[in-house]
Amino acid sequence: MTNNVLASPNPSHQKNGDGGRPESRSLHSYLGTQATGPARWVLALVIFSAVMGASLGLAGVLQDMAWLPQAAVVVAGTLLFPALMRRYSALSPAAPLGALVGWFMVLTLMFFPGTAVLGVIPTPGTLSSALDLASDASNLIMTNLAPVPSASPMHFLFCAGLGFAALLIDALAITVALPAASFMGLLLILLPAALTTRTGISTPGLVGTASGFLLILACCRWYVPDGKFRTDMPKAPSGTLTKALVMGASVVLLMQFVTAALPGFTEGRYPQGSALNATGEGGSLDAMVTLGDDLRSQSERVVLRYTTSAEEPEYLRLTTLENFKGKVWGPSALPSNLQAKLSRLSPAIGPSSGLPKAKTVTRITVPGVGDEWLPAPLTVTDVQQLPGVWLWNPSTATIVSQTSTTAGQSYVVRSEMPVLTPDLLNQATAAPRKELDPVFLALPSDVPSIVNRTVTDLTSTAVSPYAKAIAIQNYFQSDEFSYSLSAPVADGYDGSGMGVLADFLVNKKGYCVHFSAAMAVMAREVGIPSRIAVGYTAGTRTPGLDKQEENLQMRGFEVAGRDAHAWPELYFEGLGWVPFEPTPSRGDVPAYAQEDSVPTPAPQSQAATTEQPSTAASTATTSVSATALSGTGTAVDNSGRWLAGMGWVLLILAALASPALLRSAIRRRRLAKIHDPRDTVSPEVRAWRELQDSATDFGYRQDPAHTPALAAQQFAAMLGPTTPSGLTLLLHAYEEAIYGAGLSKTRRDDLADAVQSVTARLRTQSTLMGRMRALLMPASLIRRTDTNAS
Amino acid sequence: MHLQETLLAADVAGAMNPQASELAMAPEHFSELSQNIMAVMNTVVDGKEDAVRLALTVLLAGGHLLLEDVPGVGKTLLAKTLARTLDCSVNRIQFTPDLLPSDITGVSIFNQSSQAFEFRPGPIFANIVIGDEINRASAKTQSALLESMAERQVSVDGTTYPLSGPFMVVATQNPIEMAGTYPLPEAQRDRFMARISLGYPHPGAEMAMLETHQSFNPLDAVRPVATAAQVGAMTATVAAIYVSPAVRAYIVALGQATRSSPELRLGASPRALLQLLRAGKSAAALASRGFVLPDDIRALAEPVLAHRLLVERSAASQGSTPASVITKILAEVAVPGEQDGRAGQDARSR
Repeated sequence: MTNNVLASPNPSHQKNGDGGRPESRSLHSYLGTQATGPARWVLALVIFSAVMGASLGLAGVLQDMAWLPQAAVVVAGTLLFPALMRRYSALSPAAPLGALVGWFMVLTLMFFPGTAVLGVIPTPGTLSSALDLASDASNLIMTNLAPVPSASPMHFLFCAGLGFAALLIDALAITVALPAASFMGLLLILLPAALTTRTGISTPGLVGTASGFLLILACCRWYVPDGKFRTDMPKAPSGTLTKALVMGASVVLLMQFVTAALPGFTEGRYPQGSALNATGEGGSLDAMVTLGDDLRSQSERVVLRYTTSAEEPEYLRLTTLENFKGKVWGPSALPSNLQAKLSRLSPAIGPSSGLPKAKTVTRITVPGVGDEWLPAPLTVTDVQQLPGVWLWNPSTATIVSQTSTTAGQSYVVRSEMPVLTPDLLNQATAAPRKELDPVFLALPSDVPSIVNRTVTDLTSTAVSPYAKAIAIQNYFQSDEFSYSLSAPVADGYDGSGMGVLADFLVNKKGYCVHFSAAMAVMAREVGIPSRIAVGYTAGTRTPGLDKQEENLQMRGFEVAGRDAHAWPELYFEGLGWVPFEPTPSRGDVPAYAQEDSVPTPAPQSQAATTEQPSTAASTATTSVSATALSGTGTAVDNSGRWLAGMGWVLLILAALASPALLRSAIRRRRLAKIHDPRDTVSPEVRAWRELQDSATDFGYRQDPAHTPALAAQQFAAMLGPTTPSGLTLLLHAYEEAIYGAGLSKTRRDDLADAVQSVTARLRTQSTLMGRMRALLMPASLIRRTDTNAS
Repeated sequence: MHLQETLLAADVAGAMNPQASELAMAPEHFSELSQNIMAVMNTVVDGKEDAVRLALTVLLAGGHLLLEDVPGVGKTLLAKTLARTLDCSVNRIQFTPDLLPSDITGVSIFNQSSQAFEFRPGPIFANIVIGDEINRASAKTQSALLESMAERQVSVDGTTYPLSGPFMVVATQNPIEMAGTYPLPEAQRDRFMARISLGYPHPGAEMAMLETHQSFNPLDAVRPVATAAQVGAMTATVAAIYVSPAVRAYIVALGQATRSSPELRLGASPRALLQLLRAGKSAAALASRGFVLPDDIRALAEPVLAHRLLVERSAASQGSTPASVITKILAEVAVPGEQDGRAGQDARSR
């Protein structure tokens, strides 16, 4: 008799806990029945820890970590709402909305309580305040190098970003039940640090992210088994933890790979995140690479004009690179107690006061786009008619602003250039005084041996530091080396890194970046403090700009993007910092640095039609401009940025493609399993799942109350006027497998063929939009979450 | 029909005992026979294929059928056709308000020659009993019929007389609003496995009916296509149909949904669920399938459950009917699938 239907209900049904309806095996109902337990709070706590752990990786993006407590409050507030809502299974699917509301409210409460109703309900005023704050933040980012000043707009940005990441992770891990995808949210947190800081993501950040991610995986496995596991399993079976760990470990490995492969991560080609420049609006970050890009662009765009009283103008410097502790050259951190008064300037260790000096007046005009470094000669003493707060960094003799740019400025620079002679230099020692920052002599431990060998050969006969410097410079100016903008890129050694240096010394082709970096390293090898100045050569003589000012005859020059340059400055006791010119055919070798034996190479013909600045002056003539390094205006004609842009496009494409890849991996695995006789899941079930998922991709909406036959009816409607035999075969095979008594006799090959033919038919019957959606946003990836029971 | 044969068939059909499967017929034979029965019935009852199939489903599931509709749509014709198609004994009782219980069960009469009381079986002693307009009889008479339906036996004067099988009551009733009717109490409606509303035939079928029925009654031309023994064997076949745990769980879930629905005052009884399951097996067998699908259950949910449900007055005032509630429940209750079926168990044992 069939009375036992009532006497002993289906055993699996009993396991359902409350003995309730066996339907809705969905995640939500699972959480619903567990809601009174700790599950949702534990999950919220885990996500909170993961987000905060990952946020440790943001150290270094701002100047301090003052935002951390605020961010903790925002993240907690964002996670609170969904956790509360999951108390009621009916509200569970809407939990992400709750998170969104929580996110808005807590941000409003913390940053714009004045504009909001009751302090938490945003008004249009809140929105405009938020937009203002965001635009302030974007200004800060654009006008500052990391670390960016720790100001309230940045705090807002960080809090909003972290809250959003928490929201995303909560939705991915719990609502969508793809805990592994929560990695995307964590990645979002790490990106700013990876892209903007020179050191990349800090170790605590990496560890925090990885462990947070593992925690999410483990907990979601524990409390929210995915579709492959029964949702009424009280605990993860043995092996699940192992799986979670293996998965987590592989993700961490992948993360390492990604960080190594992506521009901007940790260190490498784009040490200071010039990847940001790919958008054309980032700050001027990687001076060296950007410089190469600027040079290669051969941009004719005038970056600045100047008139000078000097016969031979000095190079105009923007910034210096002296920090070679890592693998690339970088600026040292800006000291905090800089003076904002730009008169009577003197470098930290300048030339002794007794030296004769040539006084010069230069008026510099920056049309259009500017940046935060002020173009000025090395020996600047006063800057006048310059609005804004500009800071004098005596250690590097550079002028920088955290709030202003040079855009549209026209200012007067007075400088005093000591008159140097080879004799004077020959007498000078390079032995640094105690005040000299050790950063100017620091070398990493892994300087390639070729550098050492070369410098030893070159300087074996030289006695004085100056003679050594001249020997090194002459080596680079000799015929052995040639100037090439393209060779380093083509041969893959562009940049200023250590590996690049060795390649350069072997290939003997490069441009100013390579020559100056190589000379600076070699100088340090022989004990001469060195740094790399970045700026512009003198530019093109433009008589049309000539005018009288302060009773002086001022000669006009125009500096274009292609005049961007880098050169080494070496320190000599008593004389201060002295520029050299190791780059052949570029710029001008200063008179004091010339030797008769070394012919000065003819200047490379530049596109100038007007008079070239004369070579071999007593002071290096240079002109200046601010923007070529910043990339703010010239992103379009910048091949390097194109490359970075391509990288981003690829990254975005990869992100877009990842659902497609995941879906296709699932499909392939299922088809393989259908053929696999050892598979413990019956092939009919696998085939049906695949069919159902494919139909879902093409718009079928799964309904737990649908029987297989009803679902098949809907599939048939999607398949056009005639029902393919494959569909009938799959339906009957599945019905028999699930509801039948005996073993199905359908052949595995037939099942696989049927699945393939029916899904192919689905595709051909769909619209182009439908196909795109199915490819890029396969709905079946999401539905696994919702109704994995049907 | 020989008594021996009838009793054997009764045993088989009524009890669905373990030997049932031995008596079950080959699937092909079952399929052919059931197709024949339905084909013959359809020649008489035009345009009512669903009702015909359901009637056969109920017969093979060992249940009783309630036909409810306005007069003249062919309720009695359907019942009579079913009886005529099978080579079974048929009795028809026209229920009237003055009908007495003994008019149904039979009476003991004193036989002068044998000097003993002798039982005269009433019309209930037949394989198929047609109870016409059952709701016109008094409650007492109704209950006499319904008791014998449930017990498959008749007790008169302390003696119990078993009813032979197959035994099926096909009752017709006019909608309860009609004049002169005694509505069947809930408990008694529960004894009917299914209720069908025939409805008016569609115009095409009505045209055909006017054509064929104008000069002669096609019922007269019906020749039986199955014997009582064959029906018994078919019943045994139905009993052997497999019901997976998933389908059982589905039935239970549907039952619980009717009980917890705020729109219903009275949900489905355990007996109702059991009858739903049996009807499902019968439907699966008629579809030449060896196992029950949730779709069988869905198709039968309304005929089997609707007449047992009582709608809350508040819901009824908003237009809810038992049928609409069942439709809603079917759209909400999840169909147990992989996780509850055999394949799911396989998956779990990984």
